[in-house]
Amino acid sequence: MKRLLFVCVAVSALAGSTSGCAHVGVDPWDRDILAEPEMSLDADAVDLGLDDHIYFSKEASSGGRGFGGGGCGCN
Amino acid sequence: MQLSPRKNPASLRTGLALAAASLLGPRAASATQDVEVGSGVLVYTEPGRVSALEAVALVTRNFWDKHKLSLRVVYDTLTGASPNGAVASRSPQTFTRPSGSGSYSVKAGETPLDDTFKDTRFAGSLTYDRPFLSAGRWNVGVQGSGEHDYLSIGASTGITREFDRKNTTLSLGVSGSRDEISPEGGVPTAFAEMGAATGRHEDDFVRGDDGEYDENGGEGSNDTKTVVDGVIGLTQVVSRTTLVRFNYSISNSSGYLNDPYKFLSVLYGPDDPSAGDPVTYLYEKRPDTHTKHSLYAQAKKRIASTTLDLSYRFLWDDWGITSHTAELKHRVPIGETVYFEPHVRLYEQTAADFYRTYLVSGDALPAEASADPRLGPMTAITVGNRVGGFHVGEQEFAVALEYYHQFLKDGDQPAYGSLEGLDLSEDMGAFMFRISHGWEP
Repeated sequence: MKRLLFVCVAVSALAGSTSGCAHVGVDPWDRDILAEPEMSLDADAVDLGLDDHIYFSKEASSGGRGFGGGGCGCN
Repeated sequence: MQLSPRKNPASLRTGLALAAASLLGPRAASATQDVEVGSGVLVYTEPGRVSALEAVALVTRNFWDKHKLSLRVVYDTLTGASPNGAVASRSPQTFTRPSGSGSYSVKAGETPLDDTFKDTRFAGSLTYDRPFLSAGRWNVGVQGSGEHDYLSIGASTGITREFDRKNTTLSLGVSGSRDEISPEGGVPTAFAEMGAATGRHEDDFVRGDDGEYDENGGEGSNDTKTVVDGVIGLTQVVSRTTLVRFNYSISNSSGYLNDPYKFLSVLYGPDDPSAGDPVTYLYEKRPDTHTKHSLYAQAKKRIASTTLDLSYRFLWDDWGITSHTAELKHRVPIGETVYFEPHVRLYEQTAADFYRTYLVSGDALPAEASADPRLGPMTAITVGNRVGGFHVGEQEFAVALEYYHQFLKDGDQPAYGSLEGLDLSEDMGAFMFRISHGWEP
């Protein structure tokens, strides 16, 4: 429950809203900006994939946005 | 559907069109073309060390009613030198090549690099994504990757479900892979001694008290590992200009998790007249299971005409590693379609519990040990800029140049004897140049 409350507060803060979770979200006709390609959370997927491979090979951490990657004996 | 009274007739038509397009949800808004093609090339170079070239092509075919088939193909080639785990020494050091034939030498005072790396990798994945029940999607995929000493085959599946006018999306995914490792020269026995000469102490190797050290290649020519990943995520439209995502991921690996090309230096102890000089080198030994957890948060926000992408990841595992990764991208349009996108990434990790800069001759062997700098304490920064939005007909291009720097920190073990004054954790820098391309014919 505390985690849910944290998510609610974080989301509200990001929206710049002080009116709480009841007003989170938009109606379909207000999605003009959200529909733009650069607003996709996975925009520029090719670049993201290339970057992930580098950091997978050079650091102890991987994944987070998606699966942890792998499938290579990277040096 | 009720329309907002503040819309005028012109914007009403636009609004209806956008609403129709956006009923697919924000992540699928561009999936209206029959075929989408993306490709990219990365040139990666660590001056004096490894260089790599990676090319990727991504083709998505949309068919029937919102069904998608995606094929991803990757080719990469790598050549150059990589740290072998041993520490620098006041004397030249000589190491046996992984194949067992021949050797390479490292000058006094330099971080030992294995210059034999030369590899080519092909990888591919095929994913089918389709509507599922009334407000969900289901995907299933297979993937494979092969290089001369490593083969991986895996599969994945996931579902998403939308709620509240498609403002909230819950997702769940699992993937598994089976990897086969076939190192040059065979799989080294953990803690086996490399047949190396150190120059000053060529005939003075010391074996462990238990006498269990084997010669190289004691465990056969290949070994396997299994990786299972799971991700659960929440995506939330917050406002007309803001979108957030929260993920929890878990990854479990089991089997052969060592790096077969990494060594540990065994040094004369502090009380020895040759204190700090290398006695011999042992192959590393890691635990045979590894479980990682991560929490990931990402926000996208439109501010005026610019787009901000902010993310943070906290990762922890049962090897004692914790890491923080923060990333910021800011897309700023500078023309009708062209944009700049500065990028900063900050990374910090703690060392694995079994990370050792070196071992000391005469001390009991730990249960596990690795001197792989990727398991040691470090901070890293990436800075760069991407310039995109160049159109040639239906093709769109972007280029990016970035610099990545790892600040390796000293481990818990002190420099003593002849090690004093040597750089035992040398920083690493790399340049990355990418060209990416998109095409929706």
